[in-house]
Amino acid sequence: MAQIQELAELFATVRPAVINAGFGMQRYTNSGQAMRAMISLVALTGNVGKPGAGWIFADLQSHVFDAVRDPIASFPPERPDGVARVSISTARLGEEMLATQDPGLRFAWVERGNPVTQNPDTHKVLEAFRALDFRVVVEQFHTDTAREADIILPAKTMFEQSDVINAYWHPYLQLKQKVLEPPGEVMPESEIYWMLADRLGIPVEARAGVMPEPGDAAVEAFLRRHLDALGGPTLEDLREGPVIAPGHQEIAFSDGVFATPSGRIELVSEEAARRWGVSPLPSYDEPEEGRRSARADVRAAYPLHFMTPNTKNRIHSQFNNLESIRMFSPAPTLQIHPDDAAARGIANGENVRVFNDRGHVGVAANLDHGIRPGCVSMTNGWWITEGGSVNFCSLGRETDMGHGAAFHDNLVQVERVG
Amino acid sequence: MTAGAVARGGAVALGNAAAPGSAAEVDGRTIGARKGFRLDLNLCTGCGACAVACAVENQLDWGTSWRFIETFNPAHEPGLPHYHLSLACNHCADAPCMNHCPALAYHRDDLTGAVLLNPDQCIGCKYCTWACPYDAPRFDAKAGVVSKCTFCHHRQLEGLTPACVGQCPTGALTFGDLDALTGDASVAGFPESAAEPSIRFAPLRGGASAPAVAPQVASEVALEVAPGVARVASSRAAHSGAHLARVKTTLASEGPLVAFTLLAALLAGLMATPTGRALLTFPAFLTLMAAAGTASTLHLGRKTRAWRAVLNVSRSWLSREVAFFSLFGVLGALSLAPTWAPAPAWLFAALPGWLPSSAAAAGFALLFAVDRVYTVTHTRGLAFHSARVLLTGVMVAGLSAGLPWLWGAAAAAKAVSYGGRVARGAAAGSGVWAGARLGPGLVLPAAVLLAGQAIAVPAAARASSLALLALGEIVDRCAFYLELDVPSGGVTKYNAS
Repeated sequence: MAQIQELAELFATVRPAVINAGFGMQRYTNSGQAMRAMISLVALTGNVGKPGAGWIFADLQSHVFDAVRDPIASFPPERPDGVARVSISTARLGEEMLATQDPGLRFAWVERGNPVTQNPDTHKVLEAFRALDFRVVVEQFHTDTAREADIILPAKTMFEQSDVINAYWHPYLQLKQKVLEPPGEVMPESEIYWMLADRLGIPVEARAGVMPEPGDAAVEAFLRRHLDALGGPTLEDLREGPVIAPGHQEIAFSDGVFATPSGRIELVSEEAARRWGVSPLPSYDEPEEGRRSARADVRAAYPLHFMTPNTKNRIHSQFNNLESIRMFSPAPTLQIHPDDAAARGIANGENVRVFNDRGHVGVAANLDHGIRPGCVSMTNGWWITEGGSVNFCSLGRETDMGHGAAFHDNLVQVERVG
Repeated sequence: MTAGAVARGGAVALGNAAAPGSAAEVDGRTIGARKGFRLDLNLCTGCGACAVACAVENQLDWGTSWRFIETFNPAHEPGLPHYHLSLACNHCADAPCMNHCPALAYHRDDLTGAVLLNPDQCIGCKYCTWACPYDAPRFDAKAGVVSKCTFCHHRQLEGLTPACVGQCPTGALTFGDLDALTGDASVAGFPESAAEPSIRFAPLRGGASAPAVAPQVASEVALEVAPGVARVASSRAAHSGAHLARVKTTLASEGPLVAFTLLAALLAGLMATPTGRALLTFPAFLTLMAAAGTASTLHLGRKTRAWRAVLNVSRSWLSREVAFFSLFGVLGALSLAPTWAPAPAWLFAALPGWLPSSAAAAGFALLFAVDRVYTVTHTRGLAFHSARVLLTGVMVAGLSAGLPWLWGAAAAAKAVSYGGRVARGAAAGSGVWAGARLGPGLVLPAAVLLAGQAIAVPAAARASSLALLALGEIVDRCAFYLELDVPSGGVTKYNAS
């Protein structure tokens, strides 16, 4: 308690001050409100719009080509043309794929992703994929998702087609240059679409502006068109080096302009209540599946809080299959406090089973005083075929705000194996 | 080499800690300053990038590297420091690997100061892996030779830093003129030695050695704790991985040396006295010498290069051992040849009379050298180990010459030494084993043989006593290798995360 008070004193008085939220705390059903609470602290202490002050989470100012900043745009309302468009929540992928009716789903095309490993509730995702008639996966490696495919199309690597890219952490636009020819029969996704469009009889005029023709020249023209529409940097500018995104503010909100109904920072937000159904104030609400909030019988059976963070050794489920990474990241481990391990007769390095009603994963235990008793942690991204897929245990739930996936609302039990 | 070409594209200037003017010069001009690594313990996160960079740069098999990372206190036990040591080769100013290599396979590159091993000259004897206090040279069983960090000598010649330094994301690992590097010569977990390693460490700052916040007990945060959980008093058991000694010698791997050293002791002991020599026939001597030589060659990774083992007599006891072995073989053969019936008398008429004595001397010089070879290790109680071949040779000499005071003294010395090892807990094997080695293996047969000086003892009893003594010696020499404590500072894992 004393430490919390000390922290409050410091944050209230030291100027400037910044809160770095860290990626991971957004993976709870109450994380939106939690984030709002922390942002309120930043606002209350006057740490907005000033150098060295503020809030660090993601800097999406470089996402100038899409509307990722506004998650509602991922769920477009029906357009008047009558065409059925359904957006399925990433968080509830398996469940919603199965629940889709009139018409039901028959076909999946997967590219640039690994949903069988990375989406919550793996059993559900597998069930949904296996209920389909046909699956195409565009992939470089034989991932868990690729294994479900009827047809695997070899995917290009990032080195094999030029593009303009953005980032999560900085406000620069960059040119990602093509440096290699795709090997063998590999072709970029845009060329796969073009060839499919040929086969499906989609007229060329209908494709214009939506996908580039095959070939580097067409890709370049496509990129130029989009850059011109921005009024932003040219390809030549980007060839010189990264360019700061148009409209970028070095210091967020230094102009004092806030895109809220009142034009001000809204500690009480009717808009948040209306759009997301949360309390207008940033309230503390227990997570749906938490150590205090879950039903008593659930808490008794599954007393440990399961966190599944990212690791520097991968980008989600990418790269650990490479020899150079496997050299120092050979197998998944579960971080567990020595007290929790002792209570279960688990010695360091022993194989354990992490499980709940939804599924289980087998892994070696790593005793760690640095983790809080009552919590266990295993990094996400290990493949099922690598023996460590954590999402067998997670459930598809959306976060309270932003349609995120609440991976960390997850209670498990751990037991020795053998 | 594509890895090198890519590396050149991202070149980092040489000597990131060196002042201008003292920086190395390349292209044929002498590099004056001695280079070294610097590791800042406060910045190293044990991420492994340095180890991977080395593997990529040197095109090593995946899973191997010439740089090794050890994590101390991976369980983050409170009150103990948590840090990582990333070590490759320290290119010591007085390099034990180079000093002790019998084959002269190491040389120092004057331009970069690097201690370099020539894989075409290495005979795979692994002696350098015993001599190095830092476990830098590692034996590659597939290739049959040793390999280690080259200081990225090929990169230094182009004005670049070693690949590991270039990839370190935090700047923990740097490189430059050793004189210009700040820091300590050693740190906890880094063995101190007289080898003068070219490395400096920035030790953990006081505040970084333990977390500032006391670890939370579950009850303090009012979370439910499973009933009956006792607070773990110490989780030192959870430290596995950090200090696992890498076993470099096993009885199986050193088995040929057991045979070699015991045969040497037997032959040298027998050749020591005229009575003993009379027990050896010329063909028997040659056969046993051939067996001993074969046994020692079996220990090598590259057996056809065995002749190189004698090249470093000026510095390496291993070379001296090989030299004395050869000398003993020649002198002993010449001494025994006249006793061989088929040999023509005129051939050996001109042989000098001092030949047998010089053979005896060469034999004991061999045994002395054999014992000296093991001084690079840290065998518990090696200072006076009962299985020292010199002692065994004396006992054999005394037995074969019928000198009870001599062999009795040697046997007593062995018994005392062995007892001392057992008392210190340094002896391999359980109490039953110790009793067996000491009793039936030494004291009992010695007593029987000594009694035979005074009273009549049946020949069978004599023979079996000798057999038991021999068996005891074999067992003790095997124990010697089990107790060998060859320093191995590193772990084979790169990151205990």
